[in-house]
Amino acid sequence: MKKTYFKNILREIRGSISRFLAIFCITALGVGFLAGLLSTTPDMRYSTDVYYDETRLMDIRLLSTMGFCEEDVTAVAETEGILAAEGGKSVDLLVQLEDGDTVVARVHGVDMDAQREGTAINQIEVLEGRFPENPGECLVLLEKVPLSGTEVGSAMTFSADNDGLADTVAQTELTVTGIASSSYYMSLEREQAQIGNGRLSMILFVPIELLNYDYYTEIYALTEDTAQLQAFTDEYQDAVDQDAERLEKLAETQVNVRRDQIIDEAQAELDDARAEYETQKADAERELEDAWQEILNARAEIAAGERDLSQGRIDLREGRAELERQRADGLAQLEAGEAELNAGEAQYQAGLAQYEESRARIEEAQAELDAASEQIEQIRVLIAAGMPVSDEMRAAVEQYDAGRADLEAGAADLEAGRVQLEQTRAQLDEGKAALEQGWIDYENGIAEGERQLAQAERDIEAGQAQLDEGKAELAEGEAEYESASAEAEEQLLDAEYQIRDAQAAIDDIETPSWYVMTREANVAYVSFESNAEKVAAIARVFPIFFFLVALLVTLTTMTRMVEEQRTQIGTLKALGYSRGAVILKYILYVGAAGVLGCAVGLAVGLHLFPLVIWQAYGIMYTLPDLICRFNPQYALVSSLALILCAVAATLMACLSTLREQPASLMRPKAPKAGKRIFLEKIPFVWKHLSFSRKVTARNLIRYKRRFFMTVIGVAGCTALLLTGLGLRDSINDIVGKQFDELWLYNATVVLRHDGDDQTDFRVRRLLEGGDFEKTLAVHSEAGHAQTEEYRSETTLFIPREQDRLTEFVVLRERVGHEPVPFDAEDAVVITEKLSLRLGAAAGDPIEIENADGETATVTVTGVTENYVQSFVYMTDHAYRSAFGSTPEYTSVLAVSTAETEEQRDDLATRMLEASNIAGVQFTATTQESFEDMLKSINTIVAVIILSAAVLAFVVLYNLTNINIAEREKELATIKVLGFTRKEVAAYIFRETNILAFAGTLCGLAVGVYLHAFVVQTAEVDMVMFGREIAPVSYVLSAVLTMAFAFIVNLFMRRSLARINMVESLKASE
Amino acid sequence: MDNFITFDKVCKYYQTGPTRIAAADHISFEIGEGEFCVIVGPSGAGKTTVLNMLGGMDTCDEGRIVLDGTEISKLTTRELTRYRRYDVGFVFQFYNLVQNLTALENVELASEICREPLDPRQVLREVGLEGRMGNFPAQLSGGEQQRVSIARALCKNPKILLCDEPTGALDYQTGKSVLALLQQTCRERRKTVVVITHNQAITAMADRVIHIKNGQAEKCELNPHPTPVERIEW
Repeated sequence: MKKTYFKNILREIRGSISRFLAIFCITALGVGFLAGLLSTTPDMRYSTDVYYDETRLMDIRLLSTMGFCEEDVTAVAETEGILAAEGGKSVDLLVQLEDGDTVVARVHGVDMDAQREGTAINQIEVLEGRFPENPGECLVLLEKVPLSGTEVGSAMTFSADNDGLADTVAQTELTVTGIASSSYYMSLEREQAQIGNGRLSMILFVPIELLNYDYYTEIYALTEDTAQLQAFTDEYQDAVDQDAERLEKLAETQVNVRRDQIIDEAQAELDDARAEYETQKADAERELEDAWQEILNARAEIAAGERDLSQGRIDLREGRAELERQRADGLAQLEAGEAELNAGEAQYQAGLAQYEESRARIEEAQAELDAASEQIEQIRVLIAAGMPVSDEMRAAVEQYDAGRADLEAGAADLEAGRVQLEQTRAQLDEGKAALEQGWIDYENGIAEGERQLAQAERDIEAGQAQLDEGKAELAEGEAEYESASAEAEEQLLDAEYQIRDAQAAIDDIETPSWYVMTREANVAYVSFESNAEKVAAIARVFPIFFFLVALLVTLTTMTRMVEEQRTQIGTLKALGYSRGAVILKYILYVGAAGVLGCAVGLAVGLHLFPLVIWQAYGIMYTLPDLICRFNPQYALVSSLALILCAVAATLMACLSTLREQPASLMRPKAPKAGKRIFLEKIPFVWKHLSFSRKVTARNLIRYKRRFFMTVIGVAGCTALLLTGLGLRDSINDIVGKQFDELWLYNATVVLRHDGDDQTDFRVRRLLEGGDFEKTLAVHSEAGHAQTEEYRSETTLFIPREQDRLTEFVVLRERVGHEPVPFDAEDAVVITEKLSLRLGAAAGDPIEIENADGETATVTVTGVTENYVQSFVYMTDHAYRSAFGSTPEYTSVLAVSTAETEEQRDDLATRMLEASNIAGVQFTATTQESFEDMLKSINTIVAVIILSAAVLAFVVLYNLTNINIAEREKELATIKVLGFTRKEVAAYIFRETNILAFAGTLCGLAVGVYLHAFVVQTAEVDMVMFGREIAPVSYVLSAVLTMAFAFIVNLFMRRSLARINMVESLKASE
Repeated sequence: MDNFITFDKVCKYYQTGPTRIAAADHISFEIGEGEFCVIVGPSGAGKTTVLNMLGGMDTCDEGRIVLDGTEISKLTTRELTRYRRYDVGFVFQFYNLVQNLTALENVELASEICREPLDPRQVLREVGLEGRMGNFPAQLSGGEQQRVSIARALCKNPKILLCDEPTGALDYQTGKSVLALLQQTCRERRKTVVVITHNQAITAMADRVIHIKNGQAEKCELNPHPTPVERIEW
């Protein structure tokens, strides 16, 4: 076309640069926003996929109930579709840091050489420091907030509290040689540990040699699909699922290899143990035998002693009798002796008396004789002298002599008698002495006998004591023997049972199960995926606003431009330019602005938005660098859409003008006629309006297009604000409502086996101790729920005591908080989100599937408010009748008294010491991680609020600007009339404000729906955001919008001031 | 009496690029109170500049402008607004009615902001629009619109009435009747009326005629016997 024509267009652009810029800016904004947000999710996925590929993140992770052997790894690697497989070892261990803190670490044994060469699966990147070179060195996974004591160069020790530490690690001292990142651990969220307090505080990578068990705990596999297919896509997942299926098939046979290996090992060990048992048993039995013999001997001895003792007693008794008898005999003899002696004495005395008498008589006779002697002598002499002696005398002398002789004889007799008497005396004395002696002897004899008897008695007593002692000893010995033998028996029995059990265990060794898990089981992968989806969902909604507004702004601006240039258009037409040529000018104008705007918008938007959101997610993830790709589909679609719409709008504006004749075009367009408005027909209202308000009301109605555009734009702004703020409310709601209002329990204890009373006194003791206010055993099972509409993962939840469920979980309706009953025999209450997704309300049937894949149809009896995860609360009866099996109550809901984190850690540590407790989870911990996760949404909320502000500014500024431009003359006139600056401003801004106000009101209404939509789109299956918007958010959105309007007014005041009154003198163009 | 309005060596320059154009180059004249004054001159002579400065819509760069003892050339923007509001009534060439307001409301638009306004209905009646008060400008003829414009200026009860080519957009007859209305207003209400026009014919009806040429008041003549409008022909 003609040169001049283009010159005209270029001049036009230069001359109306602000208008051109307006279109350019709003196009850039709209397209940048739309394309940027739309391509954020693909960029996030792509960047992450590249990162995964670079770091060779496993596609499949295999776990086995019994670990893997080398052959398993080879077998996996050789499976079709598997590119490479690698065995790995990992274990949770308590690690003591330099400052004395003990934390739970997951220790990954990795092949450091392969890592260094980059050939390993799950490649770790050393960000700082170097790879370990010997078993005593390790890498620590980079954390957002690193634990102190995990810096490069610090030392750590595996705590001695670890069970079987010696069997686990080759050495306990570690030195950190580097900080690493791993795509496997991209997320801050961690799996649960089964030791310590159950929380993984750090991840360590150690040379695999450090972990000294002889099997692998897991196998990582890379599939052949991973390089071509992009992670997070269905194609990728389908392909990997197929590989996983092949591995599951492989598992069916391959599991036996490991099983046989284990059985062989175990059997050998058991056989050793049995031999050992046999030897020990023989020893024990022999020892017992000996002991028994000893006891028998002792018993015999005691019997003999007893016999001796009783003999002794008999002897003693006899001795005592003999002694008595002897005593009696002796006494009788002695008494007889004494009697005899007394008789002898008496005889003696009598003899003595006789003797004395005789002696006296003799002496008398003597004396007589002596007295006679002299006479006799004299006689004698006389006789002798011969004298004559009378016969008498001679008789006297003869008598004398005879007397003498008699005397003599008597004296002799007396003498003899005296001698006899003396003899008798001697005899008597002798007898007396003998008697005396006899007494003494008797006494002595008796005493001796007594003594002997006493002695004998003592002996017997001593013997008895000894015997008793012996008996006691024996009894003791026997008891000892009994207990020893019982003990031995028990021990042996025990050992035997153990051996038998062990044998049974070996015989029972089940075929190990393999768990084939794709990346869908990786916490980071799943959460990242769902977050990326959230962005995508939001990206689908918000930019539409900008897009629409961009369109509206372009339409208004171009209409205004065409109207302004009607004279020129008329002239061109009059000069003979075709309609197309005239229109082309405006199309080119808007096209140029649009294309430039799109280019800039894309250039900025495609980088800026993904980057902002990426960085927002950087709070939660260790992310690689973002790779912003040019996503042609989004870029072109959004650019083309916008440009085409703008062109269409321009065309519309042009066509209506071009319909007029050139002549009429050259005349100024008749100003839009004033009209009475409906309000005037309500005199009550109209009369009460001040004059200037009447003017405003008329003006508002007069410019209908501007009215609607402003209202729509402002409404969009308010709606966005309300959505953004409401989204924050909804999210904040979740945490508070779920964890404080709905879940009354604050801890879940997971048991390894059904917590029935017999086997689990320890657990019971822990649960019933002071640590918990109350507990409730529940069966919790991962399952699915589906209707024809939807299939969703869910958790089947069955309380052991049906009537106590509501003590732990509040079942209520979200609106009105009416309690949802759970007392029917077959009560099945599902959570609200599930109900929404399934499209099933109370009374509707749903199909549920348990963890074993069995399905059953149940009838929903109620729907309860719930925000986090989804549940199907069923009664025991309902479960039994649905699946025909008994629920295993392996989880315990508990209300713990632990308040601080320390108390919780302590409690968890104590709980996990019980062998039947697999895990303890505190809702506080979950709550925290939830809050962290939801923080990322806050960034998005901030972006929304910011964009709402931009939107409000753009719309209000542009429309007010046009408003002022269109009414420049009118404004100049009222200025000339003497309106003060304030009054002029009020004249215009009253309209703007009313429009903004109307827009705000509409926006609040629209915002409620937009919020509901965004909330439903942005939430994932497992979370239901709150549906309510806090009143303060309504107020805030309204106030913010009005504030934006006010700020725009402030800006516009300046352009009002710039209006030159001289304009009023000019004719309208 | 003569110096109700005084222009004393007033200058106004416009800078366009490197050249400075003097739109008013030491203009001096005086207008008496209650006079019907016509400022006449060819296009580009500086009439409008004079009008702008007199109407308080523009400021002068040099010289003094005094109205009724007030030195307008010294007023601040705010004072100028008050000046326009209370002291000047303006009649535009293109009427400058607010399209969205009825005739009455257009008048009220001005009366609303004045201290001692005249009754808008009364003024409209006086300008002969008794039956058209409720009509919107689009429903009025050009002459009728100009009458509304004049009514709007009058009802403010200003000290002067400034009219910028009041007949410029009107046909001959209507122009005449508008001029008649202005002259009548001047006579009856003793208002000072300043009419700016390029139409020499109108000068005959003026009490005072000021000829502007090349930014200067070339000639200022008094007309002791102004011709009634009816007799003027152009």
